[in-house]
Amino acid sequence: MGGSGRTVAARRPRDAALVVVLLAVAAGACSRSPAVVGIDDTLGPPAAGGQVTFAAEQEPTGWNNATATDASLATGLLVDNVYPSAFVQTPELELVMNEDLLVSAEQVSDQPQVVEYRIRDDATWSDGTPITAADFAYAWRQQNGSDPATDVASTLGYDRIASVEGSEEDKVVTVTFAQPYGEWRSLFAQLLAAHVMEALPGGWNDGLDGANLPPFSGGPFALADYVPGESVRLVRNQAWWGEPPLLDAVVVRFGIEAGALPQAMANGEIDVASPSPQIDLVRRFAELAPEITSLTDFGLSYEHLDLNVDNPFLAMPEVREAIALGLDRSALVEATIAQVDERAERLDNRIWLTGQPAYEAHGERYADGDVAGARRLLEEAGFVEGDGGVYHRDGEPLALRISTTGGDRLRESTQLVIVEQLADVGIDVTVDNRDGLAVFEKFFPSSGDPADRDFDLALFAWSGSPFPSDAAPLYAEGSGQNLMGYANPEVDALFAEALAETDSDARDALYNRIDEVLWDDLPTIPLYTKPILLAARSSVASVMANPTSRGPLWNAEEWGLREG
Amino acid sequence: MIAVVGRRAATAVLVLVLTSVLVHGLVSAQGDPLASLRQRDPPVAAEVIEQRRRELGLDRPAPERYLAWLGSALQGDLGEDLQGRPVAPRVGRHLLVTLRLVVAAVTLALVAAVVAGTYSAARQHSVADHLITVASFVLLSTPAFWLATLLKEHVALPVNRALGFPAISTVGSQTPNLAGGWWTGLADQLGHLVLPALALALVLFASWSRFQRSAVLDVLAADHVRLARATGTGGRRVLVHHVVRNSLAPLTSVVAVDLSVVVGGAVLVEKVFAWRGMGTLLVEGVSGRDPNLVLGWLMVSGVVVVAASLVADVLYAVIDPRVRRG
Repeated sequence: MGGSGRTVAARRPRDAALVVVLLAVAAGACSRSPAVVGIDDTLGPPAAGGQVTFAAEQEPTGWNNATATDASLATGLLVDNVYPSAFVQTPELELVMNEDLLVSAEQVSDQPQVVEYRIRDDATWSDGTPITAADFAYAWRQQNGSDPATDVASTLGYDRIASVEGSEEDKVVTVTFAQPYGEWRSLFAQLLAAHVMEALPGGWNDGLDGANLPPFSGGPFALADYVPGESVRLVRNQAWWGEPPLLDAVVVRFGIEAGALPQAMANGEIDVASPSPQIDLVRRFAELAPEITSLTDFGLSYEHLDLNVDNPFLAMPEVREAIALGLDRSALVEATIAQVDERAERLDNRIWLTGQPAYEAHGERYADGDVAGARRLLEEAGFVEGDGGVYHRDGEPLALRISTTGGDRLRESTQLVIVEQLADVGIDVTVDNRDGLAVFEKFFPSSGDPADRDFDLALFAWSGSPFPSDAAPLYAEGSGQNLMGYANPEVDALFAEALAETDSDARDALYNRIDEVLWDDLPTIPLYTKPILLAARSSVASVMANPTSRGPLWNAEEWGLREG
Repeated sequence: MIAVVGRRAATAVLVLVLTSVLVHGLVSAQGDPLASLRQRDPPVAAEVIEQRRRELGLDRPAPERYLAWLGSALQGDLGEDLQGRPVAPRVGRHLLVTLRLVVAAVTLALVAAVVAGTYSAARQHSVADHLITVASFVLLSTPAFWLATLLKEHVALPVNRALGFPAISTVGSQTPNLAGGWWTGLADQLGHLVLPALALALVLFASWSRFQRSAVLDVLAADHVRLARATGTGGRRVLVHHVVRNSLAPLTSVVAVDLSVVVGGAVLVEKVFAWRGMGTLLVEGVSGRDPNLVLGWLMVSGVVVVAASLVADVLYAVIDPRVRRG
């Protein structure tokens, strides 16, 4: 989902849903300015008309981004310009009311919590039907979990609503909550046209599956001309009541692998792309300047090391702490990700990422390697140094496996650094990879049975969101995403408290408190925020980075082709 | 002759059926196609997964599913893939895309290989022969995807720059939503065809020209050629009338085998050029644990292999009259 909503898909392994966002980091400042790619002062101002070709990394499996089966970043990227949202995420990671859809959105009462939205009078679907409370009510009914057969990605928030009522010709929506919900601004994102969906064969579950493009639009563009596997177009929505887009259409092409992009862009076949950066890709794009402008920056996904608490050694807090102490994360960042972008930094918080306003660095005591301290810890826990400098306990050597997506050079280098650093501490780490996404079977077995997990140390990335509550399933006892097998009732209680907290400062503090507890327990060790790469033809104006799940197409209505 | 062809066809059908049993078993045993749905958190409703299972027929045992598939396959219906899309039209579309590529590449490679191989053999040990030999071995050692990148960099971009417009394309099999008439469409498809066909053709040319060269050398040493020369027939006439036709037999068999491999999946070339052909389909089917898709792919490429092999046999008979009587 884009807009203000988020889906648990946003907290899926980063490779499974490829993030194509970019965050501009203003040096040291809390506020950031978005990275504007494509500024070429020698060309004139953008003119109306024309089309721009965008290379998407993944193709959506369907167009209803709120169903579990089709929710993905790939889908969210494309529907962001078609389905209207109540609140939208700006490049500065702020959640603001969508002024194109709403006149106002306010919490008008605390007990019970009641929120009132006023929809603009001129807001209409592309067939002329006004956007009304009926569309809000439809979104609520489908996603509140009342019907177990409804395919929904997340009921979070909707299941706390008691009623959704319309008034004043249904342009005023009154939402009453049965239980308070602090993140109410995340609701009613990417709304579907209720009157169309209810008549569509297949309805909510299957009506927008596969090749069935939504036959409506509430945004500046509409989806059209879908050739599965090849391309789809975002064409100007004639019924759009806001500022009309400059472009006639954005052509989205699928299936082009990252390595083929620089030459395709040089050849004029692609205008805008945002692939995952690998070192040579960054360099190849840089070589295409000034015709192609490119930049790397830090997004909302982060790389981390997860410790399987079911391993008898990793169950010991002393061992986990020794690993965290022994790892020189600063050096690790230098040796790996900093080669792609030298501004890369160590990440010291699991809930907030570098650049988010509430970010606090809690992991500084584990920043640089303290090998002596780590070894002391192990010895105090009863480990004795044995053959080859590896610590033993009760005859068992402290041997662990580290697993990641095989074939990813950056990750394989990271593994080698970790193996070396931990060897100094006296821990024998061996690499145990599977190619590509196949390794996730070891972390998240398809049987769903935690006993089938087959790893000790897992190295991969989560893609983040501005909604910290998305982190809850990662640490909740018994959760499928909690691959570490971690359980701490204090953390679960804090997450629950934060979810109900309506004061945003108090909420932020609660999440930071959770991270502090996690640094004490160390089920995971965050490493760094992952960089992303955005490349655009310099003659396309206004291509701008957006670090949230909205992706680079978030302001496609502002894109234009410069003359000259 | 008819008997030979008939026997071959019957054996081929048997092989296809046995292979399909094996493939179905392997793909079904590979794992649960709904695994990714089960892993989601919050979990997808159990009812939804159950419904999906029933829709895909996964609640029935594998042998029963296979027999059901076989039954409908014999009637021309290859079933549906895991996304509910009918397999036969999908495989057909991908086959057409691949055939475009393969026909172009094979034609180029064949003509070049026959000419170069024959010339190389006729002018054995000359400078030209050495050059062609070295070139062939260099091409044989070059990975296809690297060759593709080189072609993009050093053929497409310079040519386009010289012409002033992007005549040669580097990705895709056609431009999406192309405006214009039939000619524009054709020119566009040709522009997209150039590089992948060239990449594939160069690789095929490398091995075929070696075959042709050694076949021609064999024939040149034969008695009938020496007699022709002895009776005063000119060099070129000897070559064209007596040598080339007799040397084509080994190449025909090699081309038939290579053709089958290429149709089945020139996966790397397809990946680098973003063509959605048979190779891509196979990869999708296997990684998606989609038995119907993989079986559909197998059946179609199996038929192509059989057809190619039969055509090769017929050509063999055309080239060498002695075979017709056998």
